[in-house]
Amino acid sequence: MDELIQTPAEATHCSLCSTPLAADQNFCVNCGYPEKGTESEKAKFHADRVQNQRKQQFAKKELKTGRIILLVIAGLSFLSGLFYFFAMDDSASLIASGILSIVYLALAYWSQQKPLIAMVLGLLVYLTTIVINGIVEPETIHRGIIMKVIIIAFLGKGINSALQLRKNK
Amino acid sequence: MEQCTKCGAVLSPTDVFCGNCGTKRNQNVSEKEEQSIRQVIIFYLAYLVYAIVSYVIYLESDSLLTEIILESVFILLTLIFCFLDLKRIMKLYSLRFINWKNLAFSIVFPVFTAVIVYFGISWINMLLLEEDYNMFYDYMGYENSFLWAFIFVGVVAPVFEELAFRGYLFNQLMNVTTSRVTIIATALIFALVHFSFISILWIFPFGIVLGYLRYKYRTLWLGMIVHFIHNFLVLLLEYYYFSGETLLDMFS
Repeated sequence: MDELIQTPAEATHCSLCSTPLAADQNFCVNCGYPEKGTESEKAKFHADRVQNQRKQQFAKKELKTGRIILLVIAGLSFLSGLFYFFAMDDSASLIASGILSIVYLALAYWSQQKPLIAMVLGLLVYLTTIVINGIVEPETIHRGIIMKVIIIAFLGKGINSALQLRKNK
Repeated sequence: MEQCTKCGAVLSPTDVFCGNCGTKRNQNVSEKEEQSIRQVIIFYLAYLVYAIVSYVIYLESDSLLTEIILESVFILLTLIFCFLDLKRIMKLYSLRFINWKNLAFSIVFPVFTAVIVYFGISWINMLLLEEDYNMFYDYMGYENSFLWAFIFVGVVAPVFEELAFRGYLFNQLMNVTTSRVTIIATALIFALVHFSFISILWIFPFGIVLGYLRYKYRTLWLGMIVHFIHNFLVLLLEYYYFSGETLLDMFS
């Protein structure tokens, strides 16, 4: 008798997040918990959840690295502008590098609110910089090639992480 | 009423998961977002490669034929991308939301931008490089140089750049983010493909206005008008300072 009274009451709320559930719902509409699933389905849900949380944490870390990379490129870009200005009296390079640094800084700041777009734009700006430098001074294409590959890889990972975070939001 | 993409069960607006089969609601949206981001990057890389190849070819030959071939490749590249999203892009050629107010703005605004940008660039060039560049130096070897400059700078650029950036790119970014972010992102990418970081100062705000017109009035026509008048006026000023001739002199 007790069971008959308690069963409908238990089934009306998710046992994981307490979201109210309709009688015909097999899964919680808020967290996806298989309320009417088998024990192995429930165990799989918990395992997936833990794995997702780890992925989220990892994605956040990679995104932070991407943001740091944008700040580093902003600094390097400004320093190279200063070098050209003081060594070669090239004020055009200083202004161009200054603008570029501001763009990178703005993208790094923006990556806190809009990480995906900021990382994509960061990658595109960086690739454009490599191409422009290569056109102006062809010998710069090979210079620091490992560093360039690392930066591109980190920005690429940043994009991937931002997508991951959106997917599991 | 929204339905689950897997089992077809009806979803209420607040449901994150389908109550019947447990499928996450935005799974398809995430895949679409991923695809759009991939397409944005491929689109940009394609133009970047095109720019590098064009530069290398120009070093070898700067004949009119080379210019025509390279401009044709740019047009073809733009059309290929647009065919991937043809249905939505065709809608952008609608005249439905054009009225006398936005048309008047699209005619008057580029007059100001052309004058400010033309004299602004000259001033910056003189200040930084101590020499001014005139685009007719590139066209002076061609017969009917003004006509060719008009076709390449005045017609091809406004029509196909608007199609590429405010058409294809704008649509892809709108799949991923808000309209405000899309306007900013397309303006920055539009500024980047001009391959001059100093020119971001004027191309970026110009791109913001073009993006805003595209978003608010859901058409490419206004952007094309603004872009055309801007480029045409800059071209006229360049030609005047290059040859000392005005448009009237040319026809008389």
